[in-house]
Amino acid sequence: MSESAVKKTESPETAVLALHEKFLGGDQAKASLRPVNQAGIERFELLKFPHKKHEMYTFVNTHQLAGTAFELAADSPVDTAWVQSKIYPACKNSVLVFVNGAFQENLSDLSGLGDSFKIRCLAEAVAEDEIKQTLLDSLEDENDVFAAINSAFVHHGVWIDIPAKATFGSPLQLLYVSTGSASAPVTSHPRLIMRLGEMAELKMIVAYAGTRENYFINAVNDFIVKDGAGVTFTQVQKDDAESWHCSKTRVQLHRDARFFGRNASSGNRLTRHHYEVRLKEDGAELHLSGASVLVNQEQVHNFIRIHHEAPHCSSNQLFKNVINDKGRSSFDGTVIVDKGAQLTNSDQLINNLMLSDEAHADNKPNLMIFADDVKCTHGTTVGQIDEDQLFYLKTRGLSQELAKSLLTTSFVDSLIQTIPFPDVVADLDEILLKKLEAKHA
Amino acid sequence: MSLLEIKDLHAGFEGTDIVKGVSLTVNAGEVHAIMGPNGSGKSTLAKVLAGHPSYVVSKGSITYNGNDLLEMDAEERALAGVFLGFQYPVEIPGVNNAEFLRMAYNAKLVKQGEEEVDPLDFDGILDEKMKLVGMDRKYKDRFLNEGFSGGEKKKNEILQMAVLGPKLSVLDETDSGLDIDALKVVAQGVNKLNNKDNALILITHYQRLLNYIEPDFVHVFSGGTIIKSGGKELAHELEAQGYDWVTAPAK
Amino acid sequence: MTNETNSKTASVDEVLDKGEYKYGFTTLIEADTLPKGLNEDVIRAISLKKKEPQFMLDFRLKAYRKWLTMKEPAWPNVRYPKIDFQDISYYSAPKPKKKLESLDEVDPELLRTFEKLGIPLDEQKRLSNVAVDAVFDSVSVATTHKKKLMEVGIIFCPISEALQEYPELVEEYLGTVVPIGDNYYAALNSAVFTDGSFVYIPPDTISPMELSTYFRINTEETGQFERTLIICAENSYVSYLEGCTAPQFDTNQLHAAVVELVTLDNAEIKYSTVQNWYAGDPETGKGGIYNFVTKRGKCAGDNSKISWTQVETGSAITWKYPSCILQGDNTQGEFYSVALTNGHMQADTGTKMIHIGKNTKSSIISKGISADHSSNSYRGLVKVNKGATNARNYTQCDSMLVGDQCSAHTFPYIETANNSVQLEHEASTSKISEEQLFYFEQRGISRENAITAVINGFCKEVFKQLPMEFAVEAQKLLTLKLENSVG
Repeated sequence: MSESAVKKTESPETAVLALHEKFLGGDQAKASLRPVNQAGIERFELLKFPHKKHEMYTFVNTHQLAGTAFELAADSPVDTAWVQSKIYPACKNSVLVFVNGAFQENLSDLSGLGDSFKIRCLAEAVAEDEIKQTLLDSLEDENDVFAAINSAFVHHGVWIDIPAKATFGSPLQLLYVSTGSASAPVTSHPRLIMRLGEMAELKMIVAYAGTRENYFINAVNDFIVKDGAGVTFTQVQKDDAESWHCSKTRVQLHRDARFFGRNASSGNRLTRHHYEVRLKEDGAELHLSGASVLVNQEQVHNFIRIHHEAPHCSSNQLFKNVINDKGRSSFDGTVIVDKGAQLTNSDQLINNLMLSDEAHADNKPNLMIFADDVKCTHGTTVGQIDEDQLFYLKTRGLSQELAKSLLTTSFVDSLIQTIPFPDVVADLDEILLKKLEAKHA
Repeated sequence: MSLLEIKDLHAGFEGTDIVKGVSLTVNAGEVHAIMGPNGSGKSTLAKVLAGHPSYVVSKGSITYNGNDLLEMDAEERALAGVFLGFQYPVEIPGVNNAEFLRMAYNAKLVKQGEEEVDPLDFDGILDEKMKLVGMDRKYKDRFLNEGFSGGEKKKNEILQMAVLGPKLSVLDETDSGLDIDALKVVAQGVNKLNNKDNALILITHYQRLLNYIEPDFVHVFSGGTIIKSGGKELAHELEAQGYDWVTAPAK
Repeated sequence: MTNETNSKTASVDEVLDKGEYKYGFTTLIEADTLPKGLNEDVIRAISLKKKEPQFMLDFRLKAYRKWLTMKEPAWPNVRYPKIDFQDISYYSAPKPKKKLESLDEVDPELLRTFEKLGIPLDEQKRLSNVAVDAVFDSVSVATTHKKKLMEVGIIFCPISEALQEYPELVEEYLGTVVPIGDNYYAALNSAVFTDGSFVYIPPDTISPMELSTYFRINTEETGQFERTLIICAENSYVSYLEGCTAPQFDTNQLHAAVVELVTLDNAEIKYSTVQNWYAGDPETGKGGIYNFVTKRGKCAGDNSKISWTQVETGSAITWKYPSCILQGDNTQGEFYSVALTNGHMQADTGTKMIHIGKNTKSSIISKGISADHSSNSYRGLVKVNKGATNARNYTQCDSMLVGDQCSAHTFPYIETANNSVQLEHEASTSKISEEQLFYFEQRGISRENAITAVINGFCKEVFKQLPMEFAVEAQKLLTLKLENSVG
């Protein structure tokens, strides 16, 4: 074997191709999803891993992730009690549990959702042309290499179809558990496609957790929200600190449809959330927010593209990050207002609170406006704890540490408190705010 | 005398008629629902009633309270008690919500030859109306509709209706973009404002709103005109069978 | 103006001629004008006419020689034909019969001119809480309340007078904030300036009244090159207002002023401008003032503060960046601006905040309104030097469009060499649209009140920085100028 050939097998792309071949030959792959896997790997070969100057990864170093050789995560037993502890009490009769991407019927409970809630496994649902086409179409112009990889390896995945006018008493929880590995790092590729019929309403929480280190969870979520329907989508990322996490959430909003997306991220080796939202018809409304608290070398990155394609739509984004030690965060968000999208309202605001000299935050809030009657704002702040505020609290008898902790916590807590599920708020207080206390104690 | 009498109205935008021959009589104390698919001309009718300058009436007449409505400009119509609840209320940054409401309230008082109210007195009036429509007081100090969610904007429209106490209210798709809880709040507010002296025209695409505000008459709008009128049971039939049932050419 | 606005909504055009320039009259006064053209002799002649000390002539000649080596800046986002600097007269003064002892001796025609502008100079009518220095073409014609100010030690006089009476003060500070070679127009101004205002606030003094200067360009082919120098000594405070108007001419007049402010320890200067120079014909764009101005303040002493507030509504072209050099520790710089462009106006305006001392703070609030065929650019620099620990900046930059033929641009520059800096930046773009006005009208609120409400809402952070009478004037000015353009 020549020297250059040796190098080639070591390139990250080749490793993925080799793993893909192994996957197709193994017993995890589903024949019905074969065309999607094929299209996915072809898209991957075209896109390749991002080089340093790639416009979508300006602030995200994927070098370590791309350079790690992963095995596909196998079905693996998990401790039931541990899983139960990750289910929010309000969702105990409306929870779907996935382990390494595979749906666990025995751990899930849908009894609280009633008959109108329909879930099918993707491998089965793809027999329908419409669903298959949705999957293939999403790859046509896929620009995110990790989303392409998800399609290349998709074999679990669920299809949820909410009929018109359906509403549910309790929120739905999707719990994605990754089991990690003591030896080779493992990867899983969960996939969710959800369609809400006209006027349907759903509140959902997606939580990501790991039992141990060394895994890469690479999720893709698709939402098709029909006329007048509304979704509340809260993502809680609390993976193991020694893991990687990518997610892409694609949303299509039709006439008067609403999407309230909230992200809370605890960070890890690398977390990257990609949102691609299309406000396709009049009156669609999007709210997107994100909160993260990063310590040590944790990273959270947000990449957001919002397309205003119709008049009278509104979108707003609010992101808050608290960064300590050598933590890193980035926000790369663009709002694109198409020519015909008159009377668009759009706001974008990113606040960063830096607690150390080595903490790092990159921000790029962009506006691309092709319509002439719009109201758009964007803003970003990077700052330290306000010395005046600190001083004020100290004059009221608070210790330096307590005053600092109070100011830091309140910075993110104002966003966490907007999450409409008390269980989740309590959980985030525990995961995110505890980190701040630990640092100041 | 009827409160509103529309006769063979033809109207549209940039030279094309969208409303093509509508006749409708509305008396005080009545609630009329106009239903129809998107693009059928319902919203155009609403804008024409309120006097939007971009819409042109090519034929027909509208009599309001015995006066020729088409002779009045938007401001005069508003002062005469015509209220439009906008489908998409515009955001106006820098203009305080409470201050805007007071401007509108005072414009009406001046028109009636009464004294303007000062901010303090108005605050009391506003608090009472906010309670009536179930709106959080924090929206008083926000800029007009700025950053409001779709639901909040629609509640704010109903608040304005409550403050101004119009004779004829036209609510254009007030239910769209609302989740079911917000819809109930909005409907309750509207119901509290209805009385025998005023009239309400509800324009909606969906039947859902009519579960909470009961209409006396339902009109089905299609192709720019009313193709069927009936009582509230018509709404249920539409809900069950869809618009095709009435709009299909072979009836 | 109210009877004209009850026209119906659609007829925006009907009201179109309302924004006509209210100050477009010329005053027939015999003027002492130098022939057109610029060379060292002209400069010597100006210096001689003004009976200046030698250092001033040297300053001018040095500036002139520097200017000859410089090029007109090409980076601003404005377009105009090349200016022929030899086709301008560099000195024009209303010819006095003799040296004036009191205002009673000022040419009555001239007094009437200022009265027309709303600035009564004579004793009976003068504004009781505002001291006014009126500058007509290049020369200061009257300064009110001088005596009263002198009682507390405040010097407020034409700079030409200061050069004779307090030459050491002028020499100490002139050119220390805007060096003679700072930029093309500043160099030109340093060479040829003829008058302007001089203010010195002694230590521990709060000025008992607002000081103000009113500028008016009257002669057709004169340039106006005034120079203002304000020094606020330790623990002192002054608020200074500046207003500008000019008559209508088909040719363009050049206005290249330099304003220098200096604050010593714990001092504060608040400088406000309402600029309404003739902007040229709104239809053709012909004529109007080229307003190329260098304004800069230096917070030289610790804990001092300089605040610029400007309402820019006139001039064919505006090129102006009132700036702050935050040299002392704990110093503060502020910039509040409303810039309105309509017709064919072009404005490229903003600020520079240079953080040098520790714990320095700056805030920038810029509101650009563009209407008709105009172009409006914000250009701002926030620079944090290495030693400027804990520097803070807040920038808010909003644009409002009126109509679809105009444009708004934002060019923010941030250079920071210190890690402890705290920066906030916000920007927005919005539009006054027919839909917004319809919304008001549907609630029974008139079109005129609607525009006023929207504009006041948009500009209120800036208006509230202005003294009351100025704020009211500014609001009226903007509403008047915009009523024609919305639609």
